[in-house]
Amino acid sequence: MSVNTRTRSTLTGRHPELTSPPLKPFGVKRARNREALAGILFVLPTLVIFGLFKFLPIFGAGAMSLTEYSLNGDFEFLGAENYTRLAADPNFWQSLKVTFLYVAIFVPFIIGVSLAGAVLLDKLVRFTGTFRALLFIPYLSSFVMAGIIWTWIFSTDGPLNAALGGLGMGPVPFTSGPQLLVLLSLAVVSVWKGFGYSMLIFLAGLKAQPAEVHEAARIDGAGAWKSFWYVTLPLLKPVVFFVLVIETIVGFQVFDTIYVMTGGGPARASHSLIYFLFDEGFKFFDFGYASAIGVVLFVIVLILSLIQQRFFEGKDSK
Amino acid sequence: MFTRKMRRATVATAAVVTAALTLTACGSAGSSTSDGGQATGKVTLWMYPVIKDETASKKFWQDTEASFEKANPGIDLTIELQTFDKRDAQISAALAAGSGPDVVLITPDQAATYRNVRGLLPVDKAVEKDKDNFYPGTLEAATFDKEVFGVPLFQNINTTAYNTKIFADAGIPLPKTWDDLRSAAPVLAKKGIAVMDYAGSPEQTLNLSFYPLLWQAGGTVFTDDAKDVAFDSEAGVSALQLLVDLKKLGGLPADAATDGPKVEGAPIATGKAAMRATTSLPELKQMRAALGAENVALGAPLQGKVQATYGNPGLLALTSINKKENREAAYTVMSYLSSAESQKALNAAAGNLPTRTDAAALGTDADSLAMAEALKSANPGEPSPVARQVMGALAPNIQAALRGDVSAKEALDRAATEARGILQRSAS
Repeated sequence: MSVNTRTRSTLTGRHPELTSPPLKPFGVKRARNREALAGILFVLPTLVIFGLFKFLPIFGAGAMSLTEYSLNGDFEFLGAENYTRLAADPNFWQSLKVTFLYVAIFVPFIIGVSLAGAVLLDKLVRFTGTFRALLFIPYLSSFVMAGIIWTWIFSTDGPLNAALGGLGMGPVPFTSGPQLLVLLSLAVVSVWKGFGYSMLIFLAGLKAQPAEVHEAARIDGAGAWKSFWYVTLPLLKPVVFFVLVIETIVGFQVFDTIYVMTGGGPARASHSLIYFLFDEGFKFFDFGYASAIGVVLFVIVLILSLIQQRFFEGKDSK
Repeated sequence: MFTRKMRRATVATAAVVTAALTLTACGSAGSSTSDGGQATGKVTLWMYPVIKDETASKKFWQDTEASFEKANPGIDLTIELQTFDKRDAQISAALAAGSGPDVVLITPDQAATYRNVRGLLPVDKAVEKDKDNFYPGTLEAATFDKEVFGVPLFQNINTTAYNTKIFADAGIPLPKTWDDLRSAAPVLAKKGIAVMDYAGSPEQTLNLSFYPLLWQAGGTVFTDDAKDVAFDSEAGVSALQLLVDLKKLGGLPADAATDGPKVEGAPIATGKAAMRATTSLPELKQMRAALGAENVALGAPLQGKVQATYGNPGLLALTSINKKENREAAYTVMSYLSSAESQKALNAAAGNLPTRTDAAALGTDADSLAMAEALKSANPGEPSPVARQVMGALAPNIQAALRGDVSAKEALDRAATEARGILQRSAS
């Protein structure tokens, strides 16, 4: 009712330039309904696709996690048994630790590299397009190809160890050494492969910043670093949040790089949660258990994303 | 269990070697159904690079598809070439999605695993007419609870391959025993060469890496009744200790703990390793291409307490997604491909041994004779429904021992604890 009243007043008294006769409440309602229906029709295909390929599998995995599911489609309801088994499985806790360690290395690393790339591109006055394309190329390459090349680069007989040997160092066991070194090596490959995407998002954020704010900072005597730290970065906060969420999710879902380069090894040093899920589901055919791992991962990522959102909102409100 | 298996393998071996010397008439493939009608339907087969040359493999299977369809006009056969890499993942994902192959090439231990998760159907009907023509050992490897779950297509044997130039240059004889390996390791290490290549990647089947050493030590993966694991025995510890010792002596490549099984680009192909303990004939070809034919020779399987290697039949298995209306067609495909004539053609192209007495075996050249000899000490693997899970538990712990994180005994104890949990869950 109040909506109709407000609409009528808008269409009549407050806008004298509108000369058409006022619409009756019923007509307004019908027009709005039609508008709403058109909106729904526009988003319907996306909703259907999203529902079919995103929500349905999530619910499917949730349901499957409560069963023992066989390859031929037979299943037996187990209740929460897969979850209690998961809680008691040392391999799960090991994989969880590996995943958190990897995320802790990967996320700051990729944000730093992509932000640095975006800032440099933003400063360029010539060949911007060329450099943007060049830096984006790794993102377009296949993970398998990147993995094979980097495996060679990191191998004991590879070019990196040859270069280190020239300096009287090494050989460094990049993919077969201590856990942190292995995870760092994997993170390097993932960052190399993925930073182009986040870099473009950061670049878009930088381009959208009003020039006068930076000019004012310069007039006030702020140097490049101060201008970046006190002006550019705060204005970029929504973009940083978006990239942080996206890259955290990417970090938690790390699989391809590990799949190609270490197979989860050595000695489970890179056996991430998704790799654990892959092993249980597709090597050992324990689909119910694998689904339980997937659900736990989903919950972890959801909680972390909400915490990140709260953190950024809290900072914004201050 | 080992002794029983070895005896079984020896019986099969004797039959294969006899067949190699006495070629008999070829079998024929039938296209009629069990009730005498003509089989019809669509069949998809997933084949793997048993013929290593990609172009030759493609042509061979295209020709096979065409000749099969000509002989069986009612059946639409599609042969899809896959890679060995991540085979289990591909098959299980496809079957779970209901979009996989009707027929797939697998190993006996995979057959045991897939059967356990109801991913396979019995294929007794596909072999019933020709049962007496198969070597008993090959069919036995595919039989579980008196039902056959795979039609033996070929017999694959592995044995030791040497880079003879490396040993000749170093002035040391070709290592044939574990003691020989331990003696040769430090000599070659001084030249920056590992005495033996080893693929410790968890993606590598242990049938081609650790298990042959375990069998050579007189051990087994599982106990006789397959209800418990046995790799944590003294034999198991001595097998892993051999690897640890070699690693310490510089006798294994630096990345042995994580290396994959491929010959291409591996230390054995680049002259950084002097021998490879489990080499098939196609891999031998790759080594010769990389190192020069005159520098590579085949030898007998390594000797620990006993001589042992891995040699398994490749099985054509019927998956659970095969529809009833295509069942007879699938049997016809399996029967056709495993016929004496088809086996002769495949073995000529791939360099494998036959699984039937009426199919021609390998020639009388040195390589073929070495393979036939190796067959005498071949173990077809230890089929268990949890064979692959146990490998999954064992492989990372072997890596840990190779890295020096834990001792050989600690590694096997840890793996055994994990494996016993797997067995317990599987039994409940």
